[in-house]
Order: sequence, then C-alpha cells, then structure tokens
Amino acid sequence: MQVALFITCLMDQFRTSAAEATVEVLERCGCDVVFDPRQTCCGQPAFNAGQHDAAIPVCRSAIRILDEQLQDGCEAIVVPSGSCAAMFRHAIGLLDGADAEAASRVAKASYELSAFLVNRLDRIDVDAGWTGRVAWHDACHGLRELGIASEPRRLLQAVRGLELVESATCDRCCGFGGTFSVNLPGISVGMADDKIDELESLGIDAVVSGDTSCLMQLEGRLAARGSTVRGVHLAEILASRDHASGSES
Amino acid sequence: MSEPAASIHHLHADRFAELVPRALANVELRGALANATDTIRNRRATALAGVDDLQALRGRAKAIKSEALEHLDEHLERFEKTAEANGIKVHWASDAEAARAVVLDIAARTGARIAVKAKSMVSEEIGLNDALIDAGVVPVETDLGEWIVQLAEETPSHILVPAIHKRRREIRDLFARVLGRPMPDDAPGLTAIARNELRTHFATADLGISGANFLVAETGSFLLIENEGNIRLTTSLPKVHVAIAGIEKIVPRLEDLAPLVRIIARNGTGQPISCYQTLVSGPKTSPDDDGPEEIHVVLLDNGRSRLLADELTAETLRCIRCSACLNVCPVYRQIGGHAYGSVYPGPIGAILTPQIAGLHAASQLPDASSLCGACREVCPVDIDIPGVLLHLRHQAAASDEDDAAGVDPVTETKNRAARRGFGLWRWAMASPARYAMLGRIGRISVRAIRRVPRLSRFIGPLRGWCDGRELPPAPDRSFRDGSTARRISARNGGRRGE
Amino acid sequence: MDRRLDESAPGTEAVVENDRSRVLADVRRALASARTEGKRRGHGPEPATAATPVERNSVDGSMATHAVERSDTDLITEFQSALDAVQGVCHRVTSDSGAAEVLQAIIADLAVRRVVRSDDELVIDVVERVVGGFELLDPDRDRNAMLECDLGVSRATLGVAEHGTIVMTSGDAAGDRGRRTERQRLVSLLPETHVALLAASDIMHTWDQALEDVGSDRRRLPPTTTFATGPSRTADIELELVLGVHGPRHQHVVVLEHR
Repeated sequence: MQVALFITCLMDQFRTSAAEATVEVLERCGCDVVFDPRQTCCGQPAFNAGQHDAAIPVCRSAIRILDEQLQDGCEAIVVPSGSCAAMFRHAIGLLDGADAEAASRVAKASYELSAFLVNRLDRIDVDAGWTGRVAWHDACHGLRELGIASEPRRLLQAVRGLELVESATCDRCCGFGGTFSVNLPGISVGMADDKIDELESLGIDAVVSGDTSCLMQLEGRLAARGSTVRGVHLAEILASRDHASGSES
Repeated sequence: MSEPAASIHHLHADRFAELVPRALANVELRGALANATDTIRNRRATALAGVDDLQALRGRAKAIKSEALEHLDEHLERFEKTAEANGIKVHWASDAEAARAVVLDIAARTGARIAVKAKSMVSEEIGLNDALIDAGVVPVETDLGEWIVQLAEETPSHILVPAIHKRRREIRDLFARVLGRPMPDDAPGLTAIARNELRTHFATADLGISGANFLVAETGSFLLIENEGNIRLTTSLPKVHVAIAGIEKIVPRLEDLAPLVRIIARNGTGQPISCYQTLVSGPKTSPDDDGPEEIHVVLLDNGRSRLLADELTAETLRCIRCSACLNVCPVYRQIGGHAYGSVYPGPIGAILTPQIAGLHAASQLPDASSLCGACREVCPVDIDIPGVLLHLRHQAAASDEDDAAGVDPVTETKNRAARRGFGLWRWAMASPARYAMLGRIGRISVRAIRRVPRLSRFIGPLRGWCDGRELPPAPDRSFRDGSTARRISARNGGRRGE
Repeated sequence: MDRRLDESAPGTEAVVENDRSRVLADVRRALASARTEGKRRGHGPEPATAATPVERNSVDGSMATHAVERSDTDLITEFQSALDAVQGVCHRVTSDSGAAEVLQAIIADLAVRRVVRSDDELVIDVVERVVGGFELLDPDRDRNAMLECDLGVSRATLGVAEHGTIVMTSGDAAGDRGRRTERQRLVSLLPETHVALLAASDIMHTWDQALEDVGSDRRRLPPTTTFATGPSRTADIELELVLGVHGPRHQHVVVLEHR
C-alpha cells in the first residue's frame, strides 16, 4: 500500500530518531512510504492560539500537498502524532470551498500511526523487540478526538521483552497545550508533575507516547527533576529489533 | 444595537495572571484540590458504572437542552403562562441590576429583615447579597459550604462544593473564631454546629431565596435539587419564596426532568441520585397548609440571549451545572476556583464568564486551558468546551481588527507578541526552504541554551519553557535532510519543486 | 425591574418596552440570527468517541461496558436494599398494628420524647396505637414547638424502588388542585428523625414513573412534591460524607405490605 507520510514539524526537526523509526516500521509492514518534502506544518500551533490569519495559509498548504498525494495514488496518510492527525479534522471547518473539501478527503484518509497499523493494516505484531518496563501516556487529541486508546496498548503488548503497566494518570494531560506551555508555565509544569509523581512510583524505565510534543514536555520535566524515567516515542519502540533497556537506543 | 449591560458581580478575571502564581504557591490549596477532585472523580466513575446505557442517557439530556434552547422564547412564554396560572408570580430581568431590583422590591413590600438563602450561583452572579445588605436585609447562606465561605468573607471556589479549597482544621478554626468558642475537630461535629446555628435563622426568616435547577414550561413548575435539606427549609418556612433562574434553565416538558435528574447527581457528585428533589408548582392553597404564601420566579437574561446567536456558543447554555468539568480539569486541579476571579470557574467558567461579562473583562480565561478535552468528555450534555475556547481565543486574537472584542491588558500584551511570533512563523512555514532555515536556527538556539542557560532570555516569550523544564536535545540535522527522507521522496520520480 | 402594566385594567396602554419585552426580543433576535447564519467556521468536529475513562482504558483492548445486573426481585425488596444503600432504614410490616410496633421500637431506641404527626388518616390511626411515654403534637401546633420535636411521622404518597426514594406531596390539603395532599410538610423535615408510612401498592419502579404519577394531570400538580432519598447529607467539608445536616438525620420508611 502506498502511504503518504506527514512527519510533523516537531518530529522532523527535533526527534529524527522517531521519524526514521516511523518509516522503518511502515516499510517493515509492507508499505510504500512517500514523503513530499514541500510539507512544513499542519497549522495547529497558530490555530490553537486563535491566530487564524497565520493558521489558515499554513494549514491550507499542508492540506493541498496531502490531497495531491491522495490524488496521485496514496491510499492513506500516516501521521506519527495524534494532535496533528486531529488538526486535519479541524481544517474542514477552518478552510473554505475547495480547500474544505480537500480537508475532508485528507481527514478521512489520515491515521495516527498506531491507528493505522492496527485498524488499517490489521497488524498488532510488528516483529519488534524492546526490553524494559514502560507505561503508556494517552495524548489528549489522539485519545479524545480520534478515540485512540487500545491500539497503542495492543501494539506494545506484542513487543518482545516489553512489560507494559498501566499508569493511573495515563489520560491526564501532560501540560503541553501549545503556547499554553510557555504562557502559563507554572500550571503546565504542575500538570507534568502530577503525572510524573505517579509514573515514578511505577518503577518503569520509560513513559511511551505517540506525540512528540507530549514527550518534549514530559522529558523536559523529567530531566529537570533528575528522574531515571525516560521518554520514548511509540515508533522508536516498534522499530527496535532487540533494544535492551539501559543501552543507548 | 444597544444591549443591556450584562455583568458578573465582583469579577476580577483580569487579575488571572497575578492570581495563578499565588494559587500555585499555596501548598495547602493544591493538596485540598488534588484530594477533592480525585475523590469526586472516583465517585463519579463508580456511579456511572451503574448506568445501563450511559451514552443514551447523555444523548437524551443533550437533546432536551438543545430543544429547549432552540425555541427558548416560546418555552419562556409558556412557562410564564402556566406558572402564573398556578399562582406563581413571574418576573423578567434583562440584566443583573433588574434582577436585584425585583428581589429588593419584594423584600421591601413584604417587610423582610432576614433572608435565608439556598445555594444559588445566579444570586452570586448578580451580587444579590451585597444589594440586600445595602437595603437593610440580612442574607444568611444556609448551604454548609456557602455558609463557611460567607463566614470567611470569601467567595465560593467551586460551583457544587463551595469550600472545596478549605481543610477541615481551617473550618474548625473559622467557626471557633466567629462563634467565639472551642469547636470539635471532626466533620460530623462541625456540621452539627452549622445545623444548630442555622436553625434559628430558618425559623425567623421572612424571605427565602433560591435558584432553580430546571423550570418546566409545560406545567409552570420548577425543580430544586440538593442533599442537605436547606433548600427544603428555605422554601418551606418563610412566607415568601423567590427563585432566581437563568433563562436557559427552561425545559419543555415535565418528563424531561427525569433523565436530567438521573444524570446530574451521578455526573456531578457521584451519587445515584441526590438526597432531595423539590418540585414546586405553586404556593399553598389554604392558610392552614405549610409552605410559602407567595412564590416568585425571576427569569434572568444578563447576557445569555446573545449566546443563542451562534450554534457553537449556544452550546454553553446547555450547562446543567453538574460541575463534572471542574473535577476533571487538570488546570483547575492546579489553581482552584478563586484564581479565575469569577463566580463561574473551571472549564465552564472559562467560556461562560467572558461570554456573559464580555471578553474585555475576562480575556485571559479562555487561555487557561491546554485544550485537553477532558471537560467535554465528561459533560453530560456534550458542550464542546474546547471548541468554544478556540472560538473565544480567535475573537481575542482578532480583537484589534473589525471584531473589536477588546481584551484586557495582559491579553493585549500576549496577543501582540503572538501576532509577531506567528507572523514570523507563518512566513517561515510558507516555504520549505524558509521552514528548514527556521528549524536549523531553532535547533542551534536550543543547543546553545542547553549549554548556556542564561541565553534563554533571548528567546522572548518562549523562555517560559525553561522555568522547570529542560529543552530537548536537538539533533544535528532534521529528518528531511537525511538519506531516508531523500530516498522516500525520490520514489515519486525526483524531488518535487519548491 | 419589570414594569409590566396590568393588562386587565381597562384602557391600558400597549405594553411599553420593559424587561419582559426586551428579554424576549433579545432571545428572538439571537435565534433568528442563528437560523440564517451558516455553521461557524472552525467549529470542532465530533469526537471519534465520547468514551468516559470508565469505559475505555483496558490494556487488552476491549471496551468493556459495566452492565448492571438487575434481577427480577419484587419492588419491595428492591426498595429496601436501595434505601439501605443510602443509610435509610426500611421496615416491612403486614398489618397496621405491626406498623405501630415498629414506630414504638424506633421511639424507644432513639429515646424520643416529642413526636409530631401529620394529618393523614393512616398516620393518625397508626400513631394512636403506639403506647405513650412521649409527648405527641398534632400538626396544628406552632412551628417553634415543632422545632423541639425529635421525631415526625407522615405519609409517603409514593415510593421509588430503584433508589429507595419516598415521594411526599403537600400544600393542597383541601384537594383544590387535584388529589388531596398532606397539610404538614414540616413534619417530615424539621425533626431529627422522620418515619414515613408507605403502602406497598404505592411503590413504583423508577423515578420517572413516580414523576409521571404525580403529574398525571399536568394542569393540577400538587403545590409541592418532595422526593427524599435517605437521610440528609453533605460532603462540603473535605468531601467527607456526613449524615444529618438540615434535614433529618434518620430516615425510616415503614412499608405496609398489606396495603
């Protein structure tokens, strides 16, 4: 299956390991991955801040590029981020006319990574190996706007050597929220602490998320607290063949 | 088009930025909030597990409220007709001042000296207590939580549990100070104190003031929901009962009450049903009966009608005040209700307050959210709170153009920076080359600041990140500069033009 | 302030602009505006699932719903266990004298000295059978006297089995608005202990059914209908559950199975 990859600006620029891993996993599952390098950002940061003047042109551009890929033969769009995938649905109401129709097509064909693997490809076992004890963090947009909850858990459970435990705060917001994280930093950090206090009690090696932004937030606070808990992107685990906890990934 | 001036009493949402750090530094408060919200959340989860078809129930509640709002004028007129046929006097108030005037007029006419009050957020909204005091009528709050905050000369910090921010020992000390004698240390003992103190007021009050949870257009009735029994006393003992309700409290039919009663307790406090529901359909028919001789209902607009003009903002009026959104909100959990500076705090407060009082008076509140959506998830009537927050943020961002919503100074400063920042961002995102350049600069800056933290002061508003968090380790090159990206973009026959 | 003119007065001028007309006009204008304007730009899409934390969050991927098991017990038993669950006490009797015995026992247990009763016929009859040792007030006494009472006995018009709720109607003792109601609602409210007499045949299954019964004539509802489920309670102090606030601390319901 030919799939268009929307890599997301944050992952492209700040977490290349996860980006490479995303491609690795998709190709391992037999996908023909196509990346259009004209893509930049989905527009969400500006949209969430109410800055439509900035959000609309950027969002429109992303929608047009992806829609073109759909016309050119891509059957699906894979996004290794719940929030960016969810943004394409908001694009329908944000854009006008033909662009809104394109957004509709794009939204319909878009999948967050774990949803794509499980719901579209019917794959639970991607032949991954990652030794360690982890807990899953439900990123808000993926969870509440896209309904993603069981998919990443099932994928993780199939990973060789991985022990998945449930975090009681798994569905609590990490505190990122875009510009919220810098405009109300005290609250943002407090929210991260709520989760981290509980995560640290679980004796895990890492917290796993499907969103680069959540990981930036949690890892940023974990590091400041000198915690032994790390952050890992779902793709990084799924692409591993034989990672052993404690070794460099 | 001149509009009546809608207002919220003692609103100080413009101080949000200043109140937040104070709340965050208050360790006691944060402990109390964490404990309380965790408790209510768990109770709610248990209570909802006992509902056979939760989604269907929520759907019904949402449908009833939506239907009511869609033809609100008709239902309001019908209610007036049926209520008056029952002997209930119906008054209309376009704004807070009008509502206060109605109540003061009734108090004056009936010669009331003491008014007992059941918990009513609307009465706080219109500043009724201060107006009563000015007019020489003593208002006594009878809901335990409200009485506590009244004694403490504070405002409620939660719409269902007004003193949620207070620890038990704080309450004990408060009672001891105000009543001038030593107090028991346990909750039952403190509650008994309140019961005895308030009993005397119930017996001597001339006027009982309440809100109303729902008004029934079909029968001219209204429903009051509670656990303590103070509403029953407030509406049974005094000769005159006044109920104040926002116009959005109307439901079309008597049977509509059932699904709403069913869901409000489970969703709000985690009980299968609240202890008492009182359905009032008129004053007593003979002097020998118990109950008030006169019953008044005040229908309050105070900015609500404006919300009906837009499909999205109208959803705000579906709210049945269950407070579930406050109990799941991770932001409320950190800062509590007082930081919002409004009678209505939390997620519902963040959208209701600016829409009633105007964005200029509460523009920081829509920003007090990470848009996590937990509120919408628990809302029994499915209000798209994140959607309304986004709408208000857009209004605030566009405020200096023709929308002219006007914002408070803190928001104005933030908006200016955001406009500049996102202007640059937009310019960069418009071309892959510029985007790549901005990305490269970003990674270089991040690496530099990680080595020399003092440099963070140069990144403007983004430096808020560095307070308590490390910046991410920035890779040397981006994904798209690598060989994988080249390989998979080469699949379509060479790189697409820029 | 509502300055609506008395429309029944002869020669009344047309109603001038006042709060009533303003509110209705504002509502109508807004509704009209919503009907003509298209869907708001940027309105969020429907979420893919409205799952609550209770329904999702299972590691094995199943979205288990927690169905409640409801067996076909008879209404009285359901009523009793529901009332028990909210710290009320249900007594089942098969005769009026049985009811009197229960009442006698409660009075003795709680060392009750003053009792007030409502004017319902059944209540009068049952209370008459209770052996003395306490002062009995009838509902004509003033309210200050009633405030000194330890226990009140009245009739429940209906019961709701699913929650252990009793339904009391009051305010229309002459039956002007429909069916006769009890005169004294303070009897069930002021004393620390309330004993309600409930005929088994008056027990409905759901709150909805009780509401429907009370409102069977939509134009003549009782002035006040009170649904009471267990003793009064609060969680206003640190969320700790405390029973007995302003309403009764003890809620007893005597179900007369023979009626």
